[in-house]
Amino acid sequence: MTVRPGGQLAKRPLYFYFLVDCSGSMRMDGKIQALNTSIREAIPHMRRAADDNANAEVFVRVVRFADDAAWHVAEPTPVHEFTWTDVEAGGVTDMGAALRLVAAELHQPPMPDRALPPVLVLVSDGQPTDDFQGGLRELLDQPWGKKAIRMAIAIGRDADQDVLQSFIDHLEYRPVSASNPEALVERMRWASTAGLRASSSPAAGHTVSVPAPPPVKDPEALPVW
Amino acid sequence: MVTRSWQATGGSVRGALHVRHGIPNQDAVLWNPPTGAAGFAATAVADGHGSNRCFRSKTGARIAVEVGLTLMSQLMSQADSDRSAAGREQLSRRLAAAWMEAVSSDLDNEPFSDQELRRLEEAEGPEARQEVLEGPALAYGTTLLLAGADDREVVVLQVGDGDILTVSAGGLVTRPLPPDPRAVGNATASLARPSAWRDARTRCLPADAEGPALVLAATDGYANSFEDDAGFLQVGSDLLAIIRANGLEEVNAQLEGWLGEVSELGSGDDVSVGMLVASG
Repeated sequence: MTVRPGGQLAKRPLYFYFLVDCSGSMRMDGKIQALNTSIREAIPHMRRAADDNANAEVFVRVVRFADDAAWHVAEPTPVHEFTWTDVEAGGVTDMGAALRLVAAELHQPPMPDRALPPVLVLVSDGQPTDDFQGGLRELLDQPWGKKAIRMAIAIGRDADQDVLQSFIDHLEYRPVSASNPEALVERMRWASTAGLRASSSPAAGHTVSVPAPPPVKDPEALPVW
Repeated sequence: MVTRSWQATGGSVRGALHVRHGIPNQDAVLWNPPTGAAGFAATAVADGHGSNRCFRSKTGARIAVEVGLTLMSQLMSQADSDRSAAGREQLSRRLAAAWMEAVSSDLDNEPFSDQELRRLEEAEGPEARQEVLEGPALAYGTTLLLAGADDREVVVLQVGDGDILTVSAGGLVTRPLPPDPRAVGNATASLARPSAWRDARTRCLPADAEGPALVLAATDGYANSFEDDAGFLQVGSDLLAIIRANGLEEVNAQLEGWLGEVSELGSGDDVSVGMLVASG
């Protein structure tokens, strides 16, 4: 039998970004602890979602923003090796800087043209204190930024829904809200798995669809935030 | 002057991911002549978009390769046909119009069912249903790649993503067309767009001794399965070497197995390829 023509085969890379708000207000009412817990609990679900598509290789990166923005997990880490190290809160809300940091990674290169649409999950409890619109413009000016599946979780009633909606930049999708730790766990689990599934779906040929979030399990639970 | 005759072949496999999700192969491929060598040859490959809005893209892809192969074969069968930029633009216009007409005829024969529209609305919302009802060609959305060759020239045309490769007699693999700036992620230009002919990238190459010995047209599931572009380009030079060593029969015997392996270990997408082989 003749050897198959061509070089080394490989799954398509899928880059997943958490952009997490670590501003001082996240210290209040246990929000930062709840955020750490919610991402830690989402990881096994992300791994299962990744396993559902044997033809995608999922890599995770994390940006934290407060006074400026910085990589919390800089290296694209295979989801099966990804573990969560707690973030701490303190400072202002430089969300625009976080978008700029991610935008720089969505140039092609370094993004390979065979990649699946990246998934960006933005989590915030407040309002940007820097040039958010400039950062958003930079992100959406990148073809991969525009093409990315962008999802947002609003923590508490002070989160700026309009800002999160403009990050999503899609008429049919809205930010999801979490007003207590249990809801945040559920929302984080939904966002991290629905994004992965939508990006790597075989039906994602022309437009990518993200299913609506499920209702929170306990709608009567008291809002904490 | 070197006079060349051409052979053609091709193949298509349902993507590994499509098998797992119970989705049909939404690619299509045709070639001419079906067997043996002839004074001209042509191939057409199409990749139906497959998204929820494009719920008839399997049919759209089939129509695209039928229309495309017919028009490309007509062009290559006439020795005095116009293959200049103006002639290729004319081909693109006729192609887009013929596809749209055939889609319209298919829709007349089989209007959208309540089930199709309900499923779309459930998945994408009422706006998506409205969008498809206002522009029903979207439901048939597909790419199209064409290649034709005779003893004079090789003509290629592409709307949307995928790859056309030419391989010289010396094994040098090149892309004759510029990249499509719209092809990012899974996005692509489409025959379903109004004025789709404007999105057609075309080129005419001499079919002399320095010209292509092998032309490949492949859906994007093929290139997306390789670790890097060099690995995909190697398909061209490897295929030419296999054809020279063991004949086109060897390729025909093994192609489906190769494409299946590519999809399984690579993109998981449907993988299709049409090829023209100079035999003179």
